[in-house]
Amino acid sequence: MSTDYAPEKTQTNLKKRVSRFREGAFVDGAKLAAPFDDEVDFVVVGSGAAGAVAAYRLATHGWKVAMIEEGPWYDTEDFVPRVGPSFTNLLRDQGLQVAEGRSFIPLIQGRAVGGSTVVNSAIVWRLPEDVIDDWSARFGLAPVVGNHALDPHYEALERELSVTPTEREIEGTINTLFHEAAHALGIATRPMDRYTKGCQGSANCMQGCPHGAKQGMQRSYVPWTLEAGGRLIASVAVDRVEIRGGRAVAIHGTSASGAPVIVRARRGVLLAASTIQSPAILRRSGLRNVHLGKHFQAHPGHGVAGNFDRPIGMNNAATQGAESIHFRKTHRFKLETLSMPPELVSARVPGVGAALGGRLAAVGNLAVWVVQVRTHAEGEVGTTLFGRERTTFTPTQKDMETTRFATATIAKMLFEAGAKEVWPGVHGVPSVLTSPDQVKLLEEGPTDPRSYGFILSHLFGAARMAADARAGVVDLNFQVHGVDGLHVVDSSVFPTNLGVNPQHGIMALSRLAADRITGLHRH
Amino acid sequence: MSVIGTLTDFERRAGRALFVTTFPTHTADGKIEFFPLSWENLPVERYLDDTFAALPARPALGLRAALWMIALSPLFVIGRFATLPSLDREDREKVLVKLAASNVYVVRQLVLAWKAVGGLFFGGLPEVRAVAQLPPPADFGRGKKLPIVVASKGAADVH
Repeated sequence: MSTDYAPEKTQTNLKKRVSRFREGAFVDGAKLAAPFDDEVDFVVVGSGAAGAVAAYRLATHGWKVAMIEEGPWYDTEDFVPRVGPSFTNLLRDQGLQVAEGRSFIPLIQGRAVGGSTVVNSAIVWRLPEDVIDDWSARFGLAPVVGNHALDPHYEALERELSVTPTEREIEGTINTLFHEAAHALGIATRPMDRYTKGCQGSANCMQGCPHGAKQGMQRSYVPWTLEAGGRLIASVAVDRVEIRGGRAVAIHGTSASGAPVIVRARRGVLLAASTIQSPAILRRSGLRNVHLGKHFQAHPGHGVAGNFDRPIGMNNAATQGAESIHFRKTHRFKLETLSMPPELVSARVPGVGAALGGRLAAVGNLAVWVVQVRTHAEGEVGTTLFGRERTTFTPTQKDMETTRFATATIAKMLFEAGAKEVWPGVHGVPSVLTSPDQVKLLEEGPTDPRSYGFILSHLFGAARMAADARAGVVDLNFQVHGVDGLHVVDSSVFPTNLGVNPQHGIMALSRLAADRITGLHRH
Repeated sequence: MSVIGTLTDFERRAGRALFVTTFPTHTADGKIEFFPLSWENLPVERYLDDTFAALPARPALGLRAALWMIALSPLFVIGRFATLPSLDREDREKVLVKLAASNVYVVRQLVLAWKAVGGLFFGGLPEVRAVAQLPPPADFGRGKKLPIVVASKGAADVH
């Protein structure tokens, strides 16, 4: 009899983890019994890729820094294998957020110390040159990102986070076959560069790395910030930034225990709460700007499964280890492998009832490869009547034609790799394809976004940067136009999406932002 | 616990009927076993209660509305004046298959949403993890490392 589902223990190691820092370095908002009031030089809202890096950089410049994080602090010993409790602990709304539009698209965001870096696959890409050229030409960003300004930041991050290509030892069949099939079809691939140290290929990136191999922010820049004299205040949701006399002076929040929290900023406030939450905080703080919440962009992903007549061992490999940007410039999409745990793949396997049961019984023979589309579509981050964030996003017809082509391309690759069946997950096309000849059904398939199983994970642009105040929300010092000391340093400021994974670009830009902001406030 | 997060007995029964039908452990005639499990012994109601107690209001409301629509759908889908839990396995499966294949987006999303909720439960069971060549949850991160399969299609080194 199996009754072993119950949510596992959490935060078993928090006390021990915190004990290595000076007293007061960590404040647990879940346990605050009284109002909390603090004053620092800079308040950083968010502890993900943008916030943790900026906080650490500011702390090493000698500033007194406080990071405010809405979620709790989990790390290696706390992570559990099951997706359900992991998502409850680590994701916003337990992973049940959706972007609304012509279809409902699940929207994945981390909500824990370390942000989305706790649950992503730690994939490294520098900002592509064509993106930098575009930002420079259309938004006047050359003084920020031009002339290889980000190179020293990339280099420091790559050194500090142990960037390495996925090793052959942990590649597993899912990644090996991806390379082989792509090459047979003339598609260039590469092993993914990732922030890992001693990855064991357990395919657990999404639940939090159980081996401490993935260098998420919760085990790198966050503790390093505390060691450099900073403070982390976790389990506190920021309600608004107090702006007085045209200057950001404090953040007001509420702890998970219900206590009011005020952290005063002598120099400034940096928002790094994500493309959805940073614009929402700005709006709640009274900021009005025609671009605020607009120009929301993303990389919708759609997965295609291949069923082989032999074990693939998808869950005994790097979660994501192989990729292709072969079609990035010509067709605006990127291909990747994705090892999905049985909890998630069971929703992706076609059918219900006996048909599903039979297919799930062979789950060890599956490989899932995904497309990430660099869409043209722009959505919006707004608020509901009840004050909650509301994200709208609908891929354009052109985006859907790209998706259709990419889905067919993956199907071809899976057949080339030896799959006996391909499960495209496209409504209107047979749910099980058994021959390469049937790929044409996908090529001629629907372009309605409701026919595909998209997921949104890379989010950009709802508080974009532009030299001209009439074209964006923040200026070239990452400062909100018209408000001194209020900065946005996450991917909200990216004027466009990228076509590659954004974490490295986000971290490099936030590191550069910390330097620029320091320049504005010399000691 | 909020009212939104507290399921009624009927909702628990409907949830169980949905899970059992969506993820069968063997064929209807019992001849083929997919997983060495019996739904009778699985704590579905406790899982549902815990899940809904922790859900934010909006998704909780959405999932409960979906559950009611599925539970009351047999009349419209197979012309039977009955609720989903009161049907036998064969008819329940007919209902779900038809709903899942509907050309109406919202209708097929009802089943997909509950398939996802059920998958989080079913896919995490040790017996299902074993089929996926995964160690039981207790060994997570501490047990011995499983060998990584590397089976090439036969092509030369492509790196």
